[in-house]
This record gives sequence, structure tokens and C-alpha cells, in this order.
Amino acid sequence: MRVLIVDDEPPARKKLAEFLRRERDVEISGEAANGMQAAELIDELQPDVVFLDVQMPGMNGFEVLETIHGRIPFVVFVTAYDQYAVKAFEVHAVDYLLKPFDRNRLQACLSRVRDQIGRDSGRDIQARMEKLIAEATGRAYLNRVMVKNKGRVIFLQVRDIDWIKALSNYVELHAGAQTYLLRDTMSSLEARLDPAAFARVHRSVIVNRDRIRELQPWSHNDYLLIMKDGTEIRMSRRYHKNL
Amino acid sequence: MAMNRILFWPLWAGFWTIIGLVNFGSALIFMRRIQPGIPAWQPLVWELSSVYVIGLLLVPLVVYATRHLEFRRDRWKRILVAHFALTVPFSLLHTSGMVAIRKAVYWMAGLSYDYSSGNLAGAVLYEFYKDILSYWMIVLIAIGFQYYNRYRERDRQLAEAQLQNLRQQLNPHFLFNTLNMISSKMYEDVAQADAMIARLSDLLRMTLRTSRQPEVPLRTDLEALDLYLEIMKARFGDAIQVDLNVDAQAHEALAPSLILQPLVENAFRHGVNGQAASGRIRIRASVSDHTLTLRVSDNGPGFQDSREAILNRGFGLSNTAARLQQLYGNQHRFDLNNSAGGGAEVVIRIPYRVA
Repeated sequence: MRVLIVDDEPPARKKLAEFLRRERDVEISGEAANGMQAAELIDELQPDVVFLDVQMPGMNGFEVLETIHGRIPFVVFVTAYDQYAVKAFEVHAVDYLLKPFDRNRLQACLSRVRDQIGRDSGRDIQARMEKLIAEATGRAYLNRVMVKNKGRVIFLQVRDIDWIKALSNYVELHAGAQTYLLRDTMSSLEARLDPAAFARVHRSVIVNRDRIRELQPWSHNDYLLIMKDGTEIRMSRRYHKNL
Repeated sequence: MAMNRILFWPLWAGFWTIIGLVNFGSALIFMRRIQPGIPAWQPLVWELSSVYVIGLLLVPLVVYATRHLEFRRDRWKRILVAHFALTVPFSLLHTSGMVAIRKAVYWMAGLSYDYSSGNLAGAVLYEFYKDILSYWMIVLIAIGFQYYNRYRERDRQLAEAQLQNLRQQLNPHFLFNTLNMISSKMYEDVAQADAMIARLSDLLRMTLRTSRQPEVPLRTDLEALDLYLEIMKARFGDAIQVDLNVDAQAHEALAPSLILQPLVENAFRHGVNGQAASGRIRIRASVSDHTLTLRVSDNGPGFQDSREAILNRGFGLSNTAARLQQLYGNQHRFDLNNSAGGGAEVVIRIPYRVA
């Protein structure tokens, strides 16, 4: 299995890497020293397993996973001390390692991981993780998304998105003068956006309620939404109740 | 506790029954001398009716009143007058209550009870004089209990505060991460791992001493900070730069022990916005106008929330605020600023004293 190590302390990464290197079936595909790097590398390397430190400055382990929502890999949380997090791991049956650990502990953990990866279709783990993340971040809805723009990785605050348009396997996020592509589907994204802030107005459009300037009647009981930046968006009848 | 509450009222009623029985003994002896044929149950009814009205009805009311009429320096005269005024309804309730019970029991026995023998005012006045004494006994005992409870509560709070203090300073996160770092170092450099165990032990010793010795010369605190920084360096490498600038005069100044470490820890945690490479923490200690000023700043994103929100979160800074308040009252200042160049700045100002 391909493994990503995430920890902001070099000695902690080193120790974990050293132990993992001795395992035959483990290949270390990368190491990240902070949350943003972690989100980037998870997206880029698509590892099978991530050893994720919970406490990191800037963006903690849960926030990393929140950002890459929808494509969460198998995660083993690593923490030094965190009563609440450990309780949550137990509740949601998620694997974790307490620092410091010895080689036996890590091996026991790895064998559990091998077991689960082999057995689970991933869907079950995904559902458990989503619940855990919502609980740990205290947010039921998406807060920021990681997008790429001209080879650069950007962490976009969801509240900065003006409107969203569907494009086959992608969605197009419009934020100010910028547009970003995100690999996601309309319905899965809609489910993770706060309905008080965002509304689906068309089969292929979601708008930020704050950015609507006016609503003009259009033909066949349809409406035309005029956004604050002047963009015009057609709203279809069946989504009227959303506004 | 639940058991106590269930048992309380039966025990309480039993207590007043015993008092009533003791009174009954003396009443019986007295009555047999002046009215030899009197059946024993009659004085028994008199005494029990009297103590039950007091114990089960009036004592709870007086305890309630005492709780609301607390003697304080600015209003003790008014409270005293209120208590004297309350003795009147107290006595009237006592007398009418016990007379009602006696009349009811006599009626059930087919007799009639004559309380006042034609002189109601005299009888009521007679009870009133006795009741003044009962009323004040109850008030004094209630006040005694109030003070006892308050004293116990204060003791409990103090113990809790000390425990919290210790727990905050022995930050388990720091402890376990440091142990993890040491366990990693052991594989590559046993001597360095050994050195780190010594540093950590020194730091733990200093932490444990803090509860006994609230203030130390700043020099001692700087030594502890040095140990802490050395450990942090081993954990994070040279990614974070720490500038230390201490006036010569400040070294001997008394400061709360381990005051700097939580501030620096806070700067490490929040000041470094994920891009650890550029982290920079400045620590400055200076003396002017009989004031020792300690300043810890970072180049992170600065404080995002109000002072209240930060101090309510219960992390290191709120502990620092509580300790400063406890040690210096209104003789100190504790400011959380966002500096002009971005970044958070914590400033402590306390009276300058030398050991």
C-alpha cells in the first residue's frame, strides 16, 4: 500500500517513516509538514493510507480532510494527546495511533488497516469519516475547498464563491474574477453546502444567495437572476421554492 | 448525595420528635404536680404540636429568609430590623399552628381544647416571648451553616484552581510530543536523546515547583524558557526563529513562575500559519517606571477573536490572565494586541519588585 505521512515535527515523521520502511507491503509515497501540503499531496498522490497528525498549526488534520471532502483516503490519525478526538475516533471506529508508539503498536495498527482496506468497499469508511469530520470541526457544511489554478493550489473559502456551474465531471466555481475547476458532481457538492448560504436555481447552477442582486420575470414562469457583478443566470421553474 | 436527600426529611422529623419527647417529659412531671389526674397523652400532644410546627414548617421558612437577608456591612441595620419584624409572624404562625393541631387531636378524642382560658392576648404574648428566643436560635444556626458551606465551597474551588493550574502548565500535548521526539532521536543519536530527557526533566521539576513558589526572579523563568525552546528546536528544527531581548535590570525582577512559556507556546501554536519556515517569535522584557513589561509577539495572522472569546476558550492565555489576577489584582495589565506589522502581541505589565 502507498502511504502518506503528515506531521509538522520532523523527528515524528522520521520515526514513522523508519518504521514503515521496514514493512514489506508499504511504500512511502510522500511526507507533508503541514495541513496545506497534506491536502495537496493527498489530491496529487492519491495514497491508500494517510498517517495524519491531528494537531498542526494553520490547518489541523480534520480540516485537511474537510478540504478534500469527497475523496477521503483511508486515514490513521496520529495524536499525542487529545481526549475529545480519541473519544470521537472510538465512536466512529476510526483508526488512531497515540504518540509515542513503539513498533508493535504500529504493526498492530497496520494489520487492522490491511484488514479493513481489503474488506471495505470504501463507502462505509467514507461515511464514517464524514460524520467524524463534521463533528470534529463543528461544521456541518463545507468551509473551504482546495482548487487548482494554473498549477497552483488554492484553498478557497466557500463564502467567497459567487456561483457554481456544472460541467460533465467537474464543477466550475466562480469567485470574483476567477474561475476554478473542481472534480465533483453537482448533487454531491450541493449536499455539502449550507442551504442558508447557497441555493440550487437550475439543474446545472448553484448560486450564493448573498450575491443575488435582483430577480426578473422571464418567459414561461421562469426567472432571470441578476448577480451583483452583473452576471445573468436563468432560474428554472422547478427550483423556485429554493429561493 | 441522592441517598442523603431521601433520608433527610425522615431524619429531620425524627430529630424534632426527640426534642418533643424531652419536652414532654418535663411537661408531664410539671403537670402531674398541679393536676394529678391528667392523662399523659395531653402534654404529649402539646409538646409535639409545638415542635412539629417549628421544625417542619417554620425552620425551613426562617432558613429561607436568612439566606435572603444576608448581613452585610452596608445594610446590617436594615436586616436586623427585618428579622425583628419577622419574629411577629413567626410567633403567630407557631401559636395558631400548634393550637389548630391540638384542637384537631382533642376533637378526634371527643374532647374540646381550650388554649387561652379566656385570656387570648396574654397567651399569645406568653408564646411570643418564648418564640423570640427560638427564632434567633434558628437564625444563628442557619448563618453558621451558611458560613460553613461557603468555606467548604471556597476550599473546593481553590483545590480545583490549583489542579487546573498544574494541568495547564504540564500541557500533556507538549509532554507526549516531546516524548515522541525523544523516542525518535533514540534511533539516531542516543546521546542527544539522553540530553533531551534531562532537559524535559528539568522543565518538569520547575513546573512542579510552581505550585509552591508563585513568584521567581525572571532569570529563573528565562532558564525554564531556554529548556523549553531547546526542546522545541529539537522538535521543529530551526524553522522558527526566536529573538530574546532582556534588559539587564529585568533579570532580577520577580515574575510569576513559568509566565513566559505558555505565551511562547501560544505563539508557536497560532503564530505560525502552517508555513512554518517563516515563523518568528520575539520575546522582550524591560523595566521602566517601577513596572516590569513582558512582551511576546509573533508574525502570524494575529488574534482573530475578541479578548473575551480568546480568554473564554480556556487555553494557556486564560490561565495566564487568571494567575495575574490572583497575584496582582488590579496592579497589573494584560493586553492582547495585533501589532502593526501583523501578528499577535501579548503584553504583561506588573509592578517591578526584586527578591
